[in-house]
Amino acid sequence: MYNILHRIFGNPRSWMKKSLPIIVYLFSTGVAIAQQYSGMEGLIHVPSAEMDSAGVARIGLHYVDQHMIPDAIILKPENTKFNSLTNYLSITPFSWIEIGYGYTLWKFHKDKKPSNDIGFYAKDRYFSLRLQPLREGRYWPSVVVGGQDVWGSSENGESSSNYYRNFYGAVTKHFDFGAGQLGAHLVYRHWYRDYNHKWNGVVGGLTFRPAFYSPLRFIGEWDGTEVNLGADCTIYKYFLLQASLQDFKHFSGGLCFRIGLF
Amino acid sequence: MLRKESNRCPMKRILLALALYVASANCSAQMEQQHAPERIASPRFELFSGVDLNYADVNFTRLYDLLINLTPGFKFHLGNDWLIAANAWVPILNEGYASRFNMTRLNLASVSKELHFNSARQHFKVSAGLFSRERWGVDLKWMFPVNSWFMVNAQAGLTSHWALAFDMHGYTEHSFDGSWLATAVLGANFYLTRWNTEFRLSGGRYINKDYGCQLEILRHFRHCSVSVFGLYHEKGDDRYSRQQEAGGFKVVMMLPPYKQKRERRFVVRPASNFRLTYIAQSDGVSMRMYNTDPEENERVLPMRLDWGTGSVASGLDGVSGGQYNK
Repeated sequence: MYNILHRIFGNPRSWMKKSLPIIVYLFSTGVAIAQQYSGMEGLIHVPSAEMDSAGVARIGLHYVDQHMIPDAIILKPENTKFNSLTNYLSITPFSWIEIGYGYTLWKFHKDKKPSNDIGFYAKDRYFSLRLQPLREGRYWPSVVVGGQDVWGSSENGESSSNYYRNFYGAVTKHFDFGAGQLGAHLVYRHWYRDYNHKWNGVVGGLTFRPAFYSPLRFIGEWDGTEVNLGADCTIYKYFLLQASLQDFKHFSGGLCFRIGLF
Repeated sequence: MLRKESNRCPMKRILLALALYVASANCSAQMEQQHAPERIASPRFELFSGVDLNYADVNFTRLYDLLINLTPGFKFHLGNDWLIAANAWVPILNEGYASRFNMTRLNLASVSKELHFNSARQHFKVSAGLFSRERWGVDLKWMFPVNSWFMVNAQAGLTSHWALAFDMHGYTEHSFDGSWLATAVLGANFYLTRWNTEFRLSGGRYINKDYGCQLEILRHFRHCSVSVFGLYHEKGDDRYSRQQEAGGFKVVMMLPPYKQKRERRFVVRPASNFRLTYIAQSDGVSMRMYNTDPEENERVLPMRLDWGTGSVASGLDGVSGGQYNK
């Protein structure tokens, strides 16, 4: 049997030697850049002070558990929360600024009639912005100030009510040692709406990127109410995959296409 | 026995250095001339097609109203900067838009001529025919590159309304209006070559008889340009005109092939670019302006000009849209 396979495929040791660099290249791209559900740089539910490279654009889709969605986004008239999907488009035109547009799909009864079927017939849109006044150096951290849902009507209507509006200041510092790279992230965050105040205050997390496989990153964070764990990974150089458990039990995850425009 | 070097006359050294400098300067000037946007080899016929995507988030009970059109068109370069261009809209999908968009319509059919007075740095483009947004008439574009980073431009037009459409069921639309409307927009562009970033400030009178101004900031990458913009306009006569402030972003993706061979007289290709415009808080009617070219976009200048994205210094020359042959 081995002789037959050897005749068909050749010496397995030789083609493994030839294909292994290709496989390693496909799965390694250097630093993996995480994605938030909003399409902006960050951890899982908490932003960070990391910044993508200039000229990088992202288009992505993220499945979001209802516990990560503001309490005002509910199905009426049942007044129940639901799991949803977010779509986003973000770009880092310069190394110090990141801009994003995204929306969360919203479940409604069709034509808003309670007797009709339920589906994703509406969405909540938002713009996000991040600025990096200080880039990380050898002895000082990276500093970023930013906001989510920074522009829109403040009327408490049904289509534009700043459900996700929040502003933050973040600090990030990375430490390299033999086993990998440890990232420490500290954020002060203020949410605009009362029903989001549970996420207010000092939040943050730790990330770890193992030395044996740098595209992979493990994430642990405190978002103000619970501890979230997750991981993200760069695949085939252009795709980012993230999976997380909120409060150790609620799954969220997404896929993003990331490309440099230069 | 070592041989001593004789001392050379210093004047000879100076003359030799001066000759080398003049020679290098001439070479540099010749290289710049070679890389300046050249006229397209004529005559040349280009057949192309793209997709026109329209979407509106005006219905809260639906994700988006969608209108997708196929946009076949052609450009016939007659030579000496004369151009005949046309394209049509062939509907593919209509969800939420008016039923009149279910018909195939002639979107644009124009003839244009560029005039370049390089010594005075004055550049004009005159167009006549049917333009986009169902306007027909004459249009004049003017560009004055003051220096490598600052340019003044303007556009003036005298147009009227003309819609031409038909479908396979025998329905036609032939809406023709004899009332003329004068539009004019004045603008200033600032181009920062080091970062390929451009600032555009413009304002004037638009096709819905409204006045407004707009600030746009563009970042040009190798094959893509992205911009954010904000605009402010007065409330127009149209009954839909309401919101006075609006803003959003644009993405212009150039599509391959990025360079075209000079010797080809007949070219079949996809559309040169894909534009995506997102306007928030827009009423859909204010500050609208027609296009005189079926592939007009914010990245490529409307006429052959060695400035901004069309210049050598930008590093985008030759990949700004394939409109300049190498």
